[in-house]
Parts: sequence; structure tokens; C-alpha cells
Amino acid sequence: MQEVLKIENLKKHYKPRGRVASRSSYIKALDGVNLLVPEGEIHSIVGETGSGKSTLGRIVAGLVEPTEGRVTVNGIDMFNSSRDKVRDLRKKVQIIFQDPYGSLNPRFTVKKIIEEPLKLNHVEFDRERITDILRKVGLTPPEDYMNRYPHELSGGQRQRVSIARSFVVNPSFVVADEPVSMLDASMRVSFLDLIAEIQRERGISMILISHDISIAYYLSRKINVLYLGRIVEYGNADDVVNDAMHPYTKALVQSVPKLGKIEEKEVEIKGNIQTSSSSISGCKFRDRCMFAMEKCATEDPGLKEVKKDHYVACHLY
Amino acid sequence: MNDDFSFWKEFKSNRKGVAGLIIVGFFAMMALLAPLISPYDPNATNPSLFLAPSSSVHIFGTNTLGQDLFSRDVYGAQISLIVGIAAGAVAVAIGLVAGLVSGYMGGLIDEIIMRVVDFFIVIPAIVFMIIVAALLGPSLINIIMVIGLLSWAPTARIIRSMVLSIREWPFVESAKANNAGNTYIMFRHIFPNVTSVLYGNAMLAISAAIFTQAALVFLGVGNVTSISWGEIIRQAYTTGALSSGDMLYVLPPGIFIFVLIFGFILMGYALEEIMNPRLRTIKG
Repeated sequence: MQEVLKIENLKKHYKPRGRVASRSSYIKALDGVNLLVPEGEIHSIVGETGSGKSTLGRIVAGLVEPTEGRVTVNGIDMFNSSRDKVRDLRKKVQIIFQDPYGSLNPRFTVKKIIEEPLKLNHVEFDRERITDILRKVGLTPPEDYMNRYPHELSGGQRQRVSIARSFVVNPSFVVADEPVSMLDASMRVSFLDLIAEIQRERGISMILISHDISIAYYLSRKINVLYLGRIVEYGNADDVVNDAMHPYTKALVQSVPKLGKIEEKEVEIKGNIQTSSSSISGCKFRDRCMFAMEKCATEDPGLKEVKKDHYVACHLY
Repeated sequence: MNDDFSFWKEFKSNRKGVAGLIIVGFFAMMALLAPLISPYDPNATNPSLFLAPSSSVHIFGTNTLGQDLFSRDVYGAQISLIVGIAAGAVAVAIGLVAGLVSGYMGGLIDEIIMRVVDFFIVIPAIVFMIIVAALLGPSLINIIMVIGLLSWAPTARIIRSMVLSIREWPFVESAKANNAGNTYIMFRHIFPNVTSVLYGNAMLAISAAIFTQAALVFLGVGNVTSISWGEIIRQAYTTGALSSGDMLYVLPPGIFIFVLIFGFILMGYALEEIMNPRLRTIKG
């Protein structure tokens, strides 16, 4: 199968604000990430706040330039191609934002919001195209919504508009950055189903960014667990969740609230995520890891294929 | 259009706004209907009426040329409103563009614009205006331009601070991800979201311009041959009417200036309250 998105050794380092910084004190939001998303698949990026997952999404959408590495979509380099090619690529890569309140301009009507990507990308369109996509995302009858302003819509309806805006240009790749985290829990599954339905019908490839591994598990084929800018575990969604190997992944799986009997926690993680500068040697997770060994402080665990198609970066394996 | 309707409803229930609107409306009528209201030609002289005191025919008396002061006070509203509104518009337009560009582009451009703003805020504007107006000559257009060009800085600063927060909203990113250019984002996305502050600010700019125009004319800068409130007070001062205590010569134009400015300021505050939900009073 052909890959649509290919990310190679992606790095994004931020200079700490207001300081004369040496290279080593740069904050490493992303520190050598590789990713392959084949046509028509959804892959997830899972990690907590500060793991670099949103930076990854913003780079793929062309909003942030990486410090190092290559991002190609359909074989075209996102950051080192001609202007026209990059413009065309941006049309094909769309992003769904987390915040249904901030992602819609309060002064635009629904119609204007959805038309915007078409107009900006010089796509010819008729009224039908707008009503079709509104119907698709469940805003029916479309005529009732076209002339409304965002403040006249509920949070869920706004997010539907946001999804419609992302899909109206027929993208070949979509970055969904926490698409349901700000919605009521009762609506999440139906939204994920909606996104998956449009994705399947149109054969769109996607990356889903989430802090909630259960959402990733529900929607995606493969899961990448990101910690401080590094992928620490990668594999089929089933394997990563049911056979989690990295202590961090185990903790993420355990953090999903379960109904019914309460199980004893197998893994405990301490403290909060640190900012990642290269002052941390060896494994970046070791400060919080209950299994940390001497080796973890000195040697950087690389991503190894521990089982078939299941990669882990941990000295335990 | 729904928006406009509810705006008008809000405005009607805002006491400051209604008071301001009545005041400004009163003076606007006075300016428009001046030929009908004033009993005499404001420029007609009558040598026999040298500083005539108040009487039933000349309620505010006359000046040294025997011109009817009441008529001149009525006509004076025209210049104040024209200069105030036009200079206010110039100031707000420049301040808007400067604030948008400065806040959105950031970096060196922001730095340069903000240093220019600092310059205009720090220098004593009236002194600068006297010099510029004296150099350019006293036509009405020149006075408008001088006041407008020298009073955009506060608007620019307020707009910039709003732009700094609006440009970080995801809808701006969404447009960027769809190849939107800077000009498009500034004027289509950010501009509609700063208009709320702009209206209130425009009212304050107008009131400042009215005062500045009167002050400039009083100091002898600007067109001293046209009828304006500042000019009437200047004449009162130069002919000694002020020191001889002819209050009906000085007080009416002074009070008009004060009340008109107050009217615009009231409207400005009302618009700010309506547009900025955080200032809205809670209604039962």
C-alpha cells in the first residue's frame, strides 16, 4: 500500500524565551520522529500535554516549520518544494482543531466559514457543495444553519461546522487535533463515528492526536505513543493497548476510567512531564519510571521491534 | 442583520448612550438648521451695535463688529462637527491600519510602528499641531488632516493589543493552513473582531478633535475668518470682553464645546459597554 504521509527524523526545537540559550538548553518539542501513514488509514498520536503531539500536527498542516527532518505528503516535500506545490499541498492537508469555540470566527456565518477554504484555494463550487457537506455532518436541514453565527450554535454543532470546513475541499490527508476532547462525553462516540464514516467513504488518510488512548484505540489502526518528543511505543492499536509494553503506555492505558470493578494499578508514574532539553541523558522517562535501572541513565533506548510490528523504546525489553 | 437589531435595542436601554445621542443629535440639528434657527446673518455687521448687551432682539448681545452672537454660536456647531467627525475618522482609520499591521506582523515592523506611536504620545500634541498648521496654512482640510494625523496613536495602541490576542485564535490558523495571505487575515478575520473597540474609540477621537480644533483656533491657528466656537472665545478674549465680564459672549460657546464633547464621550462609553460583554450591566 502507498503511504500518503511520510515523516522522517522530524525535529522541532524551540529557543527558551528571553535567555541567551546554548544549543543544549533548547526545548525539544519533537526529537526525531518517524511516521508512515498509508492511504486510507487512521494513525494516532497519543501522549500527555507537553509531549509534542500538537506540534507534530501543526507541522503536518504546514503551520510550523520543523527544525530538522522531512515531511512528505503524496511524495511532495512540505517544506522544500516550490511555492505552488506547497500551496496545493496545503489545500490537500486539512486540520480539525480541538476548540470548537476558538476555531470559528465569531463574525462569520456558517456558510462563510465553510466556503472559506474553497475560496482561498480557488476551488470552483456551487451552493450544493455547501449544503451537501452540512447534511453529511448532520446539520440538517442545511438552510437552517447557513446564515447562523457561531454564537447561535451549541458546542457540538460548532464542531460539526469545523469538521465540515475541513472536509469540504476533499483533502487527501486530515490532521484531527483532539477533535472530541472539548465535547460532552455523551457525544464523543457519535463524533468519532462521523469522522470515521467520512474518512472511509472518501479514502482519506488521517492522524488523530489525542491524550486519551481509548479514543485512539476506538478509531485508529496504529497507535504511536509520544513522550517528550520521542515515540516510545508504536504498533497496531490492539497490541499497544492490550499488550502495552512501555511503562508509560501502561500508565496511559490504566488512566482510562473503567466502569465496574476497580483494578489495582500495576504501574505507577511519578510527577509531571518535564520540558525536554538535552540535559536529560539516557531515557527521558526514567525520572518517572518505577522500573528505572542504572542503564536508563546512561544509554538512550532506541525504538526496537520487540514483537512483530510492535516497537518499543525501553531497556526492559 | 439580526445583529444590528439587537444592537439598537441594547443601545436604547443604555442611559448614557441615549443621553449622548440626544446631545449629539441636538447639535447636529443646530448645525444643519443653522440658517433657519439663527435670527441674523452671522456675518452681517452693524457698527451701531458695538458690544451691545443682551436684549430681546440680540439675546446674547453682539460683538465688536455688531454681529449677532447667538447666530454665530448656532453656526459654530457646523465647524465643530465637521472637523470633529472628519479628523476623528482620519485618526481612527490610520490607528486601525497601524494597529492591525503592527499587532499582526510583529517583529521589526511592530517595533518601528510602536516607536512612532510612542513619539506621538509623548510629544505635546498641541504645540506640534500649531507648528504644522502654521506651516501648512489655515484651510479647513489642513486643520482636519493635522488633527487626524497627530492623534491616531492611542487608537493604534488599543487595536494592536487586541490583535495580539486575536491572531492566536485557531480560526486564524485555519485560514493560514488554507493559504490565506496576511492582508486577507488582517482585514477579513481580525478586523471584524476589533470593530467593537473601534466604535467607542471613534467617539472619543471625535470629542478630542472637537476640543483640539477649538483650542487651535483660540490660539490663533487655523481659519480665523470662519465662524467657530473657539474663534468666538478668541475674539472675546482679544477684544477684552472676557475681562470686562461679558459672560454671554464667552459662556455659550464654551458650554457648547463642553456639552458636545460630553455627548460624544457618553456615546463612546455606551458603545464600549454594549460591545464589550464584560462591561455589560446585568439585567434582571
